Amino acid sequence: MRRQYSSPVTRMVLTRIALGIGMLLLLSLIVFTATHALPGDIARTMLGQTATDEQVSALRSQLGLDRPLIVQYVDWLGGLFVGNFGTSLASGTPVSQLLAVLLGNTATLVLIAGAITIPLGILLGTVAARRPGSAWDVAISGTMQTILALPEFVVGILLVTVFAGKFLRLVPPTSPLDPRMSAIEQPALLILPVATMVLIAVPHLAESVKTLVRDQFAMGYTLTARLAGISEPRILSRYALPNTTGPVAQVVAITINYLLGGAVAVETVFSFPGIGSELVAAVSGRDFTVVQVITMGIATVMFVVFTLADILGILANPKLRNRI
Amino acid sequence: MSGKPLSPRSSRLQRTLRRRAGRTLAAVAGITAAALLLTGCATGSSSSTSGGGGTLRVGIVSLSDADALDPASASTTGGYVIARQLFDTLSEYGTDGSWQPQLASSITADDSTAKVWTVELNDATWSDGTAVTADDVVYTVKRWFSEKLPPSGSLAFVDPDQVVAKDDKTVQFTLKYGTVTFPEAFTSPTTSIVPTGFDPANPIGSGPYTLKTNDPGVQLTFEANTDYFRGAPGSSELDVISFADSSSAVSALTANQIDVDASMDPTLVDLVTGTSGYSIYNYHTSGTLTWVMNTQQKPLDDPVVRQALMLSVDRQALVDQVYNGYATLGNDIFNPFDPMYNSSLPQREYSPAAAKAMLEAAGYSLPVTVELTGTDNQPTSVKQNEALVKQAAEAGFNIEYTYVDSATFYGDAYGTYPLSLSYWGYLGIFDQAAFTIANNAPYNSSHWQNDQYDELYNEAITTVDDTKRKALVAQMQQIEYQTGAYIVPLFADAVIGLSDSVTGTASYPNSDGAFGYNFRILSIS
Repeated sequence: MRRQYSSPVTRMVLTRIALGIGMLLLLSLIVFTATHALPGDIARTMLGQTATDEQVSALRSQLGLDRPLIVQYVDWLGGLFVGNFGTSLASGTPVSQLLAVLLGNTATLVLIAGAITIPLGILLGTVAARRPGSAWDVAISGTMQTILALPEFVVGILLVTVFAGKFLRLVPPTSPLDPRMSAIEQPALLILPVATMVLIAVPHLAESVKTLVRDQFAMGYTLTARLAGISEPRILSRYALPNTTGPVAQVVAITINYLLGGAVAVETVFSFPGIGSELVAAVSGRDFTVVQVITMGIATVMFVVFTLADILGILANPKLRNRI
Repeated sequence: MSGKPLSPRSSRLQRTLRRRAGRTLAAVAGITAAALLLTGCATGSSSSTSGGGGTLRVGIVSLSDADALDPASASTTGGYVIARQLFDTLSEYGTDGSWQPQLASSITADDSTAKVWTVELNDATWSDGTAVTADDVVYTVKRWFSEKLPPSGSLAFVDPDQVVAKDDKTVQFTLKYGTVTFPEAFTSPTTSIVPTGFDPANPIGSGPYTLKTNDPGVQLTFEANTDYFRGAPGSSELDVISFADSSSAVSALTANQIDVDASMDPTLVDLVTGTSGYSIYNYHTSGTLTWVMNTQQKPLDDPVVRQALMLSVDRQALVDQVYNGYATLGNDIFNPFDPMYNSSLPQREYSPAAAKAMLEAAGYSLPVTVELTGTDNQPTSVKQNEALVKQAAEAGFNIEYTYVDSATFYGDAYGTYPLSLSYWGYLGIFDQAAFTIANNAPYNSSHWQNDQYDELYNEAITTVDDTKRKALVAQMQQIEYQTGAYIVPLFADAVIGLSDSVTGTASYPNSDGAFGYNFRILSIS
């Protein structure tokens, strides 16, 4: 009998990658079809109202848009596999070059927002879970529920009105980052976008963590530990929290992906040059290659984040870990 | 080990994986949908300056990936901004709205037929230090036609084979037919002169600035061309910064993130004037958001219905409410800044009762339904369309207004809408007609055609005598006023938000954009 060298974790990761690639392929087809189904096309958008049919067809042919859709799709997909993201139809610059600075800006925004959101959300959720119905629980849950009900752009505009309005000019109201510098070198312009992202993401995370921790507190082992006279903080740190690691990792993954999604709205509200605002502009201008690369990029990041969360969940769970 | 049945746990794992995949798909679909939604909500004087220092920061709504470095292909705000900073046109509309030579020192007709024109050039240099020559002008014109670039569509009277360099500084155009308005045709930034062998990727121009950095859709930075033939620009550097909408640009202005808000929504003026250190600079222009009535679609194919709709527009209310007073009344004909403008026609008043009576007399049962399509081509577009729906309802019209995003608006359906709102103006009367309604014009989205109008146009365009020509134009505009396809309700002011540290302002009533995008005139202290 042949000995099996690959561990179940490796197998899981490989399965996951295979499945992920399949999913991304399917997604690429959906994105490609959806963008091409939009009314209007880039040639007319670029030429504006003083476009003659002759000029439009000349530009379409120059951009390769007169080729059959399937040829365009295969051509683009083939490029992706060799790391060629194509050329922005509108600007004629390679998409990788066009997105380089924007990607850095969005990454900075999401990472800083994540670094604040994740510990804060877990902390608030845990505090609220400890004594259901306590003043802390009511205060935290009430606030979270209120913010959850507000759309991202409303939160953003409220923050601008309060902290960058006519009376209280504490921070810049818009964030037109200078592309000649990195985002981190322009910290004042990051304050409101980061604050908005944190405000919209923390409630989701805190509410989920609260439910998970509260479930642990309702378990028999917690009662046993309490009866054995073990202190509450110790029960929390030693038993309840470690038991929630797997599910919390999942929730954190969802939060990171939620932040990525929130970036689209937040960047637009603050005129923040990033991947999200670029996606909005590219859809608006029918710059298909840019739309496709950004959506595929976001999908890939989401996939990686979920996979990492699953691996962490398995490693953190002795039952699963030991069977592996 | 292939063929081994899945253990219960691995099948559970598979299910989870599938669920996960579905969740990611849904999330990405959600983001794309959000982007789509946001999209839906979500568009000189010859005075020479001594040259100044500092960086002038101009906010624009908005730059785009489609902003062309090739001036001939410019069709976006950013494209026009680039063209005006890097290049020169042979002529320009000056601060009083009349044309004057720019890169040219003179543009003169050789005889009384306006068929042969001689252009003398100023002593200008390209940013690589070489001189601007007559050969460059010839090259530029031939390039428009050989590469089928947009100016070739608007310069139907130019024969590219009959454009010759007489000497280093003299170009002679022998036109296909006499055209009195030849000099005005070279005011558009798309007709900027480029050097022989022009490479758009490395745009060498003769203009007041050179391009320093270009981050498409985000920011453009320029450096002063201190050797500019009309004098160095007022600031040593110029940054043009993109904003997603008018309100963020105003916020940025009053928070000292920019010095000039070049894309003001006139209803936001109070936010600027209410902040100390900031003010509004405005002037009347020939630019307009005009309703185009399609003469091939019911019911606007009937001149009576068109007349009735013209009477159903409360122009003063539009000026007051939609434009916050920053507009002047229009009279369904173009360009009050053209010396040929027919100002003797009575101002059309809002007369809903008269409109109703006209429709009923023509046998229509009220209300008459008209489909209106619009986009946000200007900050005031949506509000102007919504106002029409209400105003025309009083006059027996049922206007069904549909908003579409810009790319859809200018897509394949453009030219088929029964009624739509278009952004026009900043063109002389002849150019406006040549673009839209005269002699099977290339951009005739109204499909309006009138033989008598064409005859008058063809006679006027070759009539050198100003008095005679003015009489002919008066008749042309009379026809448009009575049976035309364009409702020109008003002319919008240029409304610009300024920091008090900016000086050197001037009006450019016949040019699109803040100061006609002539940012060289501004200094910053």
